[in-house]
Amino acid sequence: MKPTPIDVEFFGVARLAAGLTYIEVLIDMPTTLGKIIHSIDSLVPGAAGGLLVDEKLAPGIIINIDGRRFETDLSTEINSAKSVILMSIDVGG
Amino acid sequence: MNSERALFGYHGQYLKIDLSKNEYEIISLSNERLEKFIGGIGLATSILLDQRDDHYPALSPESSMVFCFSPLVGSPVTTSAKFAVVSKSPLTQRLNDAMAGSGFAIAGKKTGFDAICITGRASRPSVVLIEQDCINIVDANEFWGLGCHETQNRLLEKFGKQFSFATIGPAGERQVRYATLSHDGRHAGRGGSGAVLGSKNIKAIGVHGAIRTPWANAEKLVAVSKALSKKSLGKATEKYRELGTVENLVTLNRLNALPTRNFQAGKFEQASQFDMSAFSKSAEKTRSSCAACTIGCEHIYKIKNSADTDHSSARLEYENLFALGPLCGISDVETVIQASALCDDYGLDTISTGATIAFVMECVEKGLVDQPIQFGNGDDLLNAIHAIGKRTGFGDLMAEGTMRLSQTIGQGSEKFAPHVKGMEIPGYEPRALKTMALGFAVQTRGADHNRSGAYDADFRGENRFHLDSNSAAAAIETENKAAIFDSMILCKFVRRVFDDFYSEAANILNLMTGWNYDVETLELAAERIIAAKKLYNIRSGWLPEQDRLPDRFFDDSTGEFGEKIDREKFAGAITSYNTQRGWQENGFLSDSLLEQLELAEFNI
Repeated sequence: MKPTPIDVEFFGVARLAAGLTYIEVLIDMPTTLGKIIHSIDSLVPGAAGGLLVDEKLAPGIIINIDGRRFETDLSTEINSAKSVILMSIDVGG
Repeated sequence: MNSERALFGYHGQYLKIDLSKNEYEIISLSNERLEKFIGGIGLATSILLDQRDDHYPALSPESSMVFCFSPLVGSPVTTSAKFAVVSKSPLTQRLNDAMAGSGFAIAGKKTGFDAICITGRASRPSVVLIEQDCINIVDANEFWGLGCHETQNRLLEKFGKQFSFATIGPAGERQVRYATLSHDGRHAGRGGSGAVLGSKNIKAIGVHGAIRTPWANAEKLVAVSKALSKKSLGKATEKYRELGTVENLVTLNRLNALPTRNFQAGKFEQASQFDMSAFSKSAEKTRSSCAACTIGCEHIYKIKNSADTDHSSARLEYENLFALGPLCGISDVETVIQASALCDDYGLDTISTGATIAFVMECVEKGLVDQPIQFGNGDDLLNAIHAIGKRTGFGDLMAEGTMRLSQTIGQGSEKFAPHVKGMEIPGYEPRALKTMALGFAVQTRGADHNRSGAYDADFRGENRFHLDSNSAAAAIETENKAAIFDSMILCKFVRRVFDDFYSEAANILNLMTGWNYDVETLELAAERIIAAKKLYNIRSGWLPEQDRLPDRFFDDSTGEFGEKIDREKFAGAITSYNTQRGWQENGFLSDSLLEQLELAEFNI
C-alpha cells in the first residue's frame, strides 16, 4: 500500500510549540495519532517535542480529525484521515 | 449551618443606598446566607431577590443593582480580585450578572461590606463615594459626558488615588441598553449594567477603606495559593498568557464555527488577516493582567499613528475581535482595534455593539433598511459606534439592541436578529457547536458564553454535531462549575489548572472561611445559585418560549459542519436540561425543589 498524505495543521499553542503552521506527512494506514505526530519529527527534527510531555499530548493541546472528532489520546487509531488539526484545548474567550 | 461561628473572609453585612431618599442602611448577612451563596454572583443574586423589586423595569428608579465581592477578594488566591454586579438587564428584563477584575474589588471589600446595593435615582448626575461607613453623594456635572478613560483619570485627580472607581461612559449616561460598567480599562461588559447605573444618574461609584477580614487558616491558605499560582504559570494557561483569546478566531474559522456577517456563515474568507501571532510581529503590543492574577491574558494593541490619547490602544480579546471584525464583514485589524477603543471609551459592550451593527448591515443588504451601514466598510462601522454611543440618528434605535430594533424594522428581520431573550449572541456559531446552542437558549441572562461554557463539551469527541440528553448533561456540568467560579470569584481561565475542581475549591473556601464545604455541598450550592437566578427570572415574568434561538439557526445551514439545528431535537434537549436539573419539564421550579435547595424564602 502507498503511504497516505495527511495535512497536519497547527493553531494556537500547538503552533507555538511546533513552530509550524502546516506540514504534510506521508504515513501508512492504519496508524495512530501518536505515530502521526512523531512522523513530523522526521521532516522537521524537534518539532514534535513541544507537543508532547512524557509521550502524552501536552496539556493545553487537543487534536481534531477532519474537522469532526476531537481526541487527546495518542493511541487513538486512525484508519483514514485527510487532516489532523492540533489546536489549543481552550477555545473560550 | 454555622450561625454561631466567627466570620472569616466576610464582613457579614451589606450596604444599601437609596438614592431617591438620599439615605443608607447597613443590613446583616447571616452565616447561613453566606455559606449557601458563597459570594460574587451567588450572594448578589440572593440580595437582589431580597429587594423584591423584580416587577419593575430595569431602568426604573425602583430597580436595584448589587455590587458584590467574595470571601477570597484580598487573598493571594490567583485571579480572585473580582467583583460581580447583578441587576435586571435593560436588554432582557431578566437577571444580568456581570463581572470585572481588579482594584475596585479589593478596595470595595475594604469598605467593610460584602456587597453594596444601589436603588432609587439621584436627583442630578452624581458620584457615590463610599469610605467605610461614610457615604457621600456628590455632584458629577463636571464628569458627565466624559469617556470612561478620562472620567477615571479626572475622578482620581479630584478625589484622590486612594479611591477605586467603577464608572460609566456616555453610553451609560444615555442608557444604551448594552452599556458597560468600566473600571481601570476593564468592563463588566454584558447585559447593560452601565445603563442601569446611568438610569440612576450615577456616573461613578468610588470605594476606599482599610477594613480587612481575617482568614481562618492563613498559613495553609498562603501555601495552597502559592501552589496554585505556580501551576497557573504552566502549560494549561499558556494560550491565554502567550497568545490571548484572540487566537480563537482562526481556530474557530477552521472549524466553520466563526460567526460571520451576522451569522450568515461559519467561515470568513479573510480570516487569515486575523492571525494575531503574525499581526503582532508588526504591531506595538503590551501585556497586562488584573490585580492578583498570575496569568496576564490581556494583550493591549496600540493603534498605529493615533494622536488621540483616549483612543490610542485597546485590549483585544476574541469577543471584540470577532464581533467588530468578521461578524461585520470587517477584515482590517486596525479598524477593529479602533472600534474596540471607541466601545471601551463610550462604555459599550463590544459583543452587543458588533452584533447590532452586523444585524443592521444584513437588513441594509436585504433592502429592509436604508442606512449607510454596509458589511465590510470600516468607516460605516466606526460611524455607527459613534451614533450608538451618542444615540444620534439611527444610532438611537441601534442603542436599543437587536431584539427591539428587529421589532421596529419588522419585515421578517426578527428571524435573523442574533439574540436570545434580548441579549446578543457571542462568538460561537450555534449550528457548528450544538451543545453551546443549547447553553445559549437556556441561560438566565440570554445568549452567554461566560455563565455557560458548553462549548467545552463541543470540543470533546463528536459532541458538536449532536443534540441529546448528553448535551443537556454537559451544559449543566459547565453551568454548575461556572456558578462556583463566579461566586468564589475566580477567573475561568484557571479552570484547567485544577485537577479536581470541586474538591480543591472546597479546600480553598474552607481555609478562608473555616467552614466545612465538600464536593457535595459545593455541587448543591451550584444547583442552588442557578435555581436562584432562574427564580428571579420567573418572578420577572420569564416564560418557557423565551428559551429559544432565532429562526435562522433552524432554517438555514452554513455548509459543511454547519447543519441547521433540528427543532424537535432542540426542544427535546431543553426538556432534558430542565428535567436533569430537577426542574419541571417546562423549566418552572416546583415548591418541593425550592424547599430542597433552601430557596423557599425567595418564592413569592
